[in-house]
Amino acid sequence: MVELSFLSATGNKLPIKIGNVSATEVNATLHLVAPFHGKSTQAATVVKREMGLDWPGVHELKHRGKSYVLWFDHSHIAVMGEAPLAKLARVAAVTDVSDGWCIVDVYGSDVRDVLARLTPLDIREQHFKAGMTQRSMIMHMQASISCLEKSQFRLMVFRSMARTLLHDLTTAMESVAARAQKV
Amino acid sequence: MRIECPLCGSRDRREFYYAGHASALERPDPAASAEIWDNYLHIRENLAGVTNDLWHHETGCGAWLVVTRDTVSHAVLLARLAKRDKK
Amino acid sequence: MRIAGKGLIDRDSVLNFTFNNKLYQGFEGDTLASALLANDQMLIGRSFKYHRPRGIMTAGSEEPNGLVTVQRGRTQEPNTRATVQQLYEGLVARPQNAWPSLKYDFLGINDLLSPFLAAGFYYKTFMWPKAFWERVYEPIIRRAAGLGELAEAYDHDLYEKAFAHCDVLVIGAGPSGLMAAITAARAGLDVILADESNRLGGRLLSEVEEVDGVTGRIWADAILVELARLSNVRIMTNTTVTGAYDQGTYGALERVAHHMHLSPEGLPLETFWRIAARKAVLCAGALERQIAFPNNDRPGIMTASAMRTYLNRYGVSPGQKIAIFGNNSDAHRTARDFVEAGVEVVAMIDCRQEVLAIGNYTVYAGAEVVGTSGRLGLKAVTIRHNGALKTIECDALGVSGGWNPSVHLTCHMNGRPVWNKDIASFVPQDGAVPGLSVAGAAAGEMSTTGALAQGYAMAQAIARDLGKRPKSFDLPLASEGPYEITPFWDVDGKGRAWLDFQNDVTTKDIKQAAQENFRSVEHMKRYTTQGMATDQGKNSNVNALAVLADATGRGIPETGTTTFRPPYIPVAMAALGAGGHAKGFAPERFLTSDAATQELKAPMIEAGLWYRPSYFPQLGETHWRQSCDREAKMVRKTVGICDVSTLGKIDIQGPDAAEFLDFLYINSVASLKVGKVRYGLMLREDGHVMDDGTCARLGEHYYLITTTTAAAGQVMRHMDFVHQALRSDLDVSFTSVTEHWAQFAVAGPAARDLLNGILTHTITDKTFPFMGCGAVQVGGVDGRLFRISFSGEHAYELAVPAGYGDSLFRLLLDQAAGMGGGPYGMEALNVLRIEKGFITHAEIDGRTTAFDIGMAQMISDKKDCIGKTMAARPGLIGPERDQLVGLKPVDAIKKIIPGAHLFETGAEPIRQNDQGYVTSMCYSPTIKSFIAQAFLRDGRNRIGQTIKMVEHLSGVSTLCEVCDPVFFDPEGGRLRG
Repeated sequence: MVELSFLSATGNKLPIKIGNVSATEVNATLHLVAPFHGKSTQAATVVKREMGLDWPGVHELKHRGKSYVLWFDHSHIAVMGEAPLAKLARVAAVTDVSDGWCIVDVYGSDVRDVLARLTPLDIREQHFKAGMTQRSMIMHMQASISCLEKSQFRLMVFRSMARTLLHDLTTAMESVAARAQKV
Repeated sequence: MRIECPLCGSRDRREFYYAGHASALERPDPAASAEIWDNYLHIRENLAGVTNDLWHHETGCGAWLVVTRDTVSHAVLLARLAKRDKK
Repeated sequence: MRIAGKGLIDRDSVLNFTFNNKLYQGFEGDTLASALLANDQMLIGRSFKYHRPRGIMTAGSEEPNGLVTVQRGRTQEPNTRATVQQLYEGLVARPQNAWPSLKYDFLGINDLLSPFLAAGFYYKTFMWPKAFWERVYEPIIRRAAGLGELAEAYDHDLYEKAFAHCDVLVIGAGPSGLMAAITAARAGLDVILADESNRLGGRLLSEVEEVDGVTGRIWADAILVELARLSNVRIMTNTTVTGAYDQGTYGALERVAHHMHLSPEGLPLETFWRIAARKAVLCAGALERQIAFPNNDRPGIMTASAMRTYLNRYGVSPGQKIAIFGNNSDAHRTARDFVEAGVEVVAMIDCRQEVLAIGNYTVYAGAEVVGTSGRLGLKAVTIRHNGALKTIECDALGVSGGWNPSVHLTCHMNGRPVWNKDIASFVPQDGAVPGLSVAGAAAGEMSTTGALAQGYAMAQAIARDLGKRPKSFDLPLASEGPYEITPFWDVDGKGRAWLDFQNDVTTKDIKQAAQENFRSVEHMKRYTTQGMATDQGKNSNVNALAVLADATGRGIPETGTTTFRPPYIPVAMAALGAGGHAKGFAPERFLTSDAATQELKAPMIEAGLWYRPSYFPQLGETHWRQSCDREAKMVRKTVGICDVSTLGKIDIQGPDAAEFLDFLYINSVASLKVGKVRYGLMLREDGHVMDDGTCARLGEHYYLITTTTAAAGQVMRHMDFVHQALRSDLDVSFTSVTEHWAQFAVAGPAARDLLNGILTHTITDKTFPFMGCGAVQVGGVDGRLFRISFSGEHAYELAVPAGYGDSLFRLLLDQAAGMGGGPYGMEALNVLRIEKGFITHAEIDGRTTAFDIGMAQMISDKKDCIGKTMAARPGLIGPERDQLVGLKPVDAIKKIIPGAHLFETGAEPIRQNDQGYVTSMCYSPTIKSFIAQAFLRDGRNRIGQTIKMVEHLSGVSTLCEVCDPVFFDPEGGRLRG
């Protein structure tokens, strides 16, 4: 009997650490959820009851353990990790996109300086706090960017662009690390 | 240039796709006259001054916006969801 | 020469550097300019047009003369302003525009020819004979043109772009800027303070004056200490704000590594910042202007304020006998400071009638400089005083014609500065750039005390505007008195008097422009090139306006100014385009099969951002056609594998999904049964084809549609628009799943056998009939199977989550190899689809309609859809339309060329006789002929006729038979297999 093997989006090119910033790849199930008309309350109830999390408002990210719910776009939220998919599917469009995104966590004290070279988002601490998620660009790529901790961000780009993400990310990390060395 | 997305807040212009005048929201009845359809599709005022445009927050939240702006001063006066206009 | 006890340089830190192949020494804290002056190197370069000897004129980024080429590692950078370049150990710089040497320059002959080289010379001279232009004039002009020389080698330096955000951007860190920054910071605002220099303080570093009871530098340092401690303040040194753009966006160039001989790996040379600021304060100060007098361009002549900067900041005197020429009170500070520093001041020449010295030096009141001497450096000046001429020996002359506020950024959004006669210069127009206020000398406030007060007031107002309640605090006072000026622009006298030093424009040129009726300031500028060099005339434009105003008998305000546009300083294209070169140009999208494809050495082609295999060469194949023919035949004979994951896939769910899709597609989707797939065509609202693809119904309210690779983004945006803007009443949502699924075509007579070798559950024609779809399991993974075909063969597309794509592709190749099959690339895919008459975006190129491609009958008459009304419009249907047909050369060896046009066999191949054009072509190993798709006028009624294809570029002409576009298996028996 044949068996297919799984390969991560970056092809196991992570983790890396440059200067004081590290990047690791995250492999997790990811589903997009869009409640049907008039079913938002039911969908929120399912998430609350089964995951113990409030429905995320615009730019909100909430988690319990390794299960996350996060705002994703004007019509979707995303659930990451363990989630009551079958129950949600009764009141919402649920789409599996687990393998569609390259998910990379970047962290370290200079992480915001690295992001300033990659995204036009306002990444100042008081404007992009832990528990916030935004959609924007990483260089030329559509991206989802979430702040998990003060100095930890989760970056998501389309899977096929994983190599470009690593290129852009390491270039920015090297630049920031070089500035720290500069006399 | 920056646009205040009703969902995302102030964002750099590079996140948006421009799609012309907001009159595209007023799709005529299929049975409307050729002249009405011609106006809808092809005829634009191109005013110097306040105008309503359609912008897609393409690399942001994905919402289509109606943006009121001044083509002379470049001021962006208001941005609202195109969806809200239709409801 | 160095002056003991003066300057902010570190005399314990000696730096060695090379200029013009000679070794020099300077100190930490020097610029290249100050270090050269300290070494009495007055001659720096030659001017652009007349190749006149030139020296340092200013001490800032406005420098017109002191341009050098800096060799840094592997790269050389021309037009580096010596006044901006920080000195570092090992710096190597060369002069420009000088050959064979700085002292003896060949093109110095131009200076002698100057009577013939005045404004308009080129326009008037190189007119005739016409044949001379290319052969004689242009080569000569090209050799002489250009400032500096490019390295002509790859630029290895890194450039970077970055974004920053703040409440308040303070531009410039002189007295007003420091005061604005500290006031805003104390009010709790997020502040960015940007300054061109490596050290903050602005003119406070250049002047002898007290602020708040201490020397200005100490006051500035104390403010800096406080700013540096605050977490809401970001200080950006070596950073010039270059432009003001809409909605509070500012461009800023940070020179990151220009002051380093060797920089750490990965460090950019420059970073171009995009700063989004809610408010900004322009505290850019003012630039001192010259006075035009005969031969005012000799090395040793500089602005009076630059002289003070060199003395007070760098501990350098540009000469041993100093003279000053001015029309304002500020010029006297130079005389006073040099006297106090123990340097001999031979004359203070003031064109004002009544002036008092503020120190121990000789004043010539009501006097003017009428000439200078010294070939490679100033030796003496001749002055006219009380009607008599007097020659005064001196080796440095400081000139002050007054100060021009740095209004540039306020003009970047079309603001026009206004004339202020008190300071005889232009000041910013109020509200010229929304959100930008102006303080200090940039606003025309020339006293330090006033500048401090304005910086404070502007920042307080901004804080209140942004909802803060700023505490007030006592303003510091400065020791300097008021600024008094009597306008004075040019001296009447014999000899040329320079205005624009970089482009060698003299007062004579301006007067000539006026005489030849180039009276508009914009015309004068272009006729004379005044202000058009890299310094953009920062310290000469106002003087030139004054001369033009005088020559045309108007006032300066009526004459008006030219337009200041971004950038404020020269910015390298590499910095503006930072991040966009090489791999940064665009994202690269790779298939999950990419690694396995690379192992097979398949050449890749770009399809949008994707990289797809062209063909898979086998041993012995030397030409792509061999591989392509083999692959196409293989698919027709056994089985081929092709990664088709690049096609857009959109997941659509909701109770109104069918209605929504019916509104998008011309054909009906609602009638599609669950588990079936249908071909669908989308139009634009103007009736032309947008895209085609398949639509699979996965469940009652669940669809999956595919788009072409190229139009995936466009279709997604279109769907978003139609839903949000036109039909938000429909309960439907959709999302792209292109990236989630790796999808492979398995095509050929043996396709099902291959699949049954790997699928957990065997499939049959009954479980998966043609155009059927459903869930399958493969290798322990849940997948989807679609029985669809783009090759005309019995074919499937098998999809698994992308994480398993690499593994599945390798498995499929293994299976295929055992059956005489294998992978096929884009070339074979193209052959297979042309043989079957299937279209791509070569055919649906945005100008073709459903009627043109023979699909008008698909437009459902039971419903409305996007584009339906316009698709029926006269002109978009009918015999006058070019319609899709197949073409085959009458003689099989003849080629057909895509893009070529079609003509009646007897007609002359000219535009008026055009009958259509070829869109796609291939060699079909099955038909054994070149075959093509084309659009032909009324083509469907001309099947069987002969038409002439003419390709004008290569002169190829081929007689073709007009065919049905389906060349192979027109009944589709193989599909149903």
